[in-house]
Amino acid sequence: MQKYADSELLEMLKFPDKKAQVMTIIVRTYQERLYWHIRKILISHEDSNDVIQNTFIKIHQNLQSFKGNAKLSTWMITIATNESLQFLKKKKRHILEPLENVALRQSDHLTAENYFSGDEIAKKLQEAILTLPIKQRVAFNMKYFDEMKYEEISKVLGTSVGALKANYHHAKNKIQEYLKNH
Amino acid sequence: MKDYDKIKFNSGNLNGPFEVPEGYFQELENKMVQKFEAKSAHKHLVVDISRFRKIAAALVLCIAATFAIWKQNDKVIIADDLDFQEEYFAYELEDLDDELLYEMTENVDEDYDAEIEYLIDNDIDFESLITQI
Repeated sequence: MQKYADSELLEMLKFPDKKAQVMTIIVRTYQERLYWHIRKILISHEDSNDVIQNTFIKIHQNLQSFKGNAKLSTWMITIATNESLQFLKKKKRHILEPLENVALRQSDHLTAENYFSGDEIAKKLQEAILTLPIKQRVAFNMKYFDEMKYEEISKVLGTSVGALKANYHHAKNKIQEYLKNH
Repeated sequence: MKDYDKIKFNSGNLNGPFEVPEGYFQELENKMVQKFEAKSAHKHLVVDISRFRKIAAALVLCIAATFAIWKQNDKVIIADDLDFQEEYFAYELEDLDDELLYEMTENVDEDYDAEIEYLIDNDIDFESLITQI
């Protein structure tokens, strides 16, 4: 598959008739990365499938306004993150219920999920991650699984690098604590 | 974090313990490509007439038709419910000619002034009723 630089894609976008072609390239190039990012937040494949489609629709709608100030991948991960958080908000049972409660319910579905192949320790790690506050969880996933740089995570979440480092440190401690006690 | 590092690197990928159905990504790509092609091919104008009585609805449709021609929309969707999952009537732009507009308006009430009053009393803004998608 031919790889395109962000600048090449932006150049193609200057021609409206090439928009569908650019979107096809984007889907082909980034669908797995975006899907796994969403999946680690939502756990369920069915939910992730809905959200990835909404994410691509949002990307399609807003692509013309992308000016290349950040990397295209960072911009798309931001959209995927926001769509996932919006989706979780819709799952709240009432307006005052904290998002963390929704995450705890996700934990119940972890092994009931059809497409979960982890062993006992992988399951425990996911359970531990699900106990983190939602933004801390997203940050942890991006740093730990996706090995993203703090600078990039900070652009996605709109948080300072210092706060992210502290967050990651707290998340690690909480996860270690959880694993010791379960 | 030693144990977790082992999990991560042993899995050989960044997906954690998750999997997808076989052929999922190809299927997703095909589905999205179809959606984008459809979106590129069509530029629709949606008009919600659910809040109007007959003559007011006809007026809105006349404005919408003019707007559609100006904006080169290829389809005008006339919805009686803003939930687009519900059934709606759709007319191709070439059908939206004088004859169709006449058909839309021929059976409206005579009480034109009352309808205009209704629009003014309810402070209805035409532009807010017309949605570009």
